Amino acid sequence: MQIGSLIKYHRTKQKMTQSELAEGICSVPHLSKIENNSKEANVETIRLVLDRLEIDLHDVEESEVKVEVLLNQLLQNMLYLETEKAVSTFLELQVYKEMVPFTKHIYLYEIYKLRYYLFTKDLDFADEQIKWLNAQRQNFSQHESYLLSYFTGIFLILRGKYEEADEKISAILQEYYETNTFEGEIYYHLALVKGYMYQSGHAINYGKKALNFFKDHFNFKRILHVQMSLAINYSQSKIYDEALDNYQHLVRNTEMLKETALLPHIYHNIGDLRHRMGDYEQALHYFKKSAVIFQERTENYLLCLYNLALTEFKLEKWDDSKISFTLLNKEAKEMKVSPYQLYSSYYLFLLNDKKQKAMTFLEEKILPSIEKADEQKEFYRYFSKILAEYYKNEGKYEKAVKYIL
Amino acid sequence: MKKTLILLLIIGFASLVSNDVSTVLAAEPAETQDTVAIRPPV
Repeated sequence: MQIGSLIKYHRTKQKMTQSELAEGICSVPHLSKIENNSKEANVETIRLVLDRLEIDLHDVEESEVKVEVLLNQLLQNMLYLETEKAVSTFLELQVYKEMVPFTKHIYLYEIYKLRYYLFTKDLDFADEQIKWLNAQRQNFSQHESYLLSYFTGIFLILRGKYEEADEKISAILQEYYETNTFEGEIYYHLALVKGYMYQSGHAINYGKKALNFFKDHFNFKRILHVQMSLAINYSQSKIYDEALDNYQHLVRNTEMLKETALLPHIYHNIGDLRHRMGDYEQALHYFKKSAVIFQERTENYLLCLYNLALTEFKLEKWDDSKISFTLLNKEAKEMKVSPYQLYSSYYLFLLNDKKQKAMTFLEEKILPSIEKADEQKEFYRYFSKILAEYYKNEGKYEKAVKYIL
Repeated sequence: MKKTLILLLIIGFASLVSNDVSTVLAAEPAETQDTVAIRPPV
């Protein structure tokens, strides 16, 4: 406990001068040294000063212990994805907000606060917090420094900057040997990042390591998330049997654990897997199953509608596809999600026999607007390929090359 | 004669470029998928 800083804080808060506080207790220079934490004062002096400030030392010490307990609790809540409990623990911690700067937990508190903002997806707050923490970094212990790097890595994933996130999180595994509590989470986040970067082999490897950790620590929600990541990467690697196997376990475990919010995501991804396998009828069945139970007005719902409409397009169910793309266009417009408005417009041009217009729209509107959007990378690759194919078939090779990524 | 030579050179160069382009097209990069999966939460 930084008792000197605590005294100074409360003295200035109560608008007292040093001489008013020191009067009859000790000299002003002595108080000044105590406040700067440069002198160990005797217990009696401290007691008298705190009495004058109406602070109970016992309360102060108890608060420090309580802050430590709450910080550990907050971390556990976040690691086990207990959203409501995390929110309530965070609110409880706020009661001790003014006390924290005088405890040894000052930086850990701020670092966990960053993790909390990432947990609640308050990315603007997280961004500010990272800037503040980086300015304090020279005072950090090695453990605190490593946590800041790791949480910055998670922030980068959420911002869609996967290469930078990969660099940051991979460095932690190499530089720090004592990852302990965070080991499973680090493996999991690396699996996510590698998956986004289409390095499925690495993603599967880290996913399996994360799975072992979460099994050992009975972290059931994370087990579901890892299974989802594994299934996606098996699917990307064309190891379809393993992917299907993982999805079957996922459906069973999700129902058993009553994590029903994940179900539309799982059905959707089984649709994606079936689509990759070329089994478009089954893909359509799962996309429809997913769309029915999806919470509307979310971006994932739009993605589901898009994949559903696209599968109908593949199956040459032109009328159905037109209805689905029209619905997607309307929903995206209302939600002000411009990429899905653009994608659906492109397909609606095609469905209305305006191929030339569709390609011009693709080249002049879609690709320039998503080129720099990290989260639209997969779509950028897909639409570039369509345009490259188009120009190749037209014999315009120079233009085709431009769109081969 | 000189003009014909220049013309032949241009045609030769153009076909060379076109060959290069065909090679690039043949070596298409990693497969792109039609549909996109929903990733698990961060």
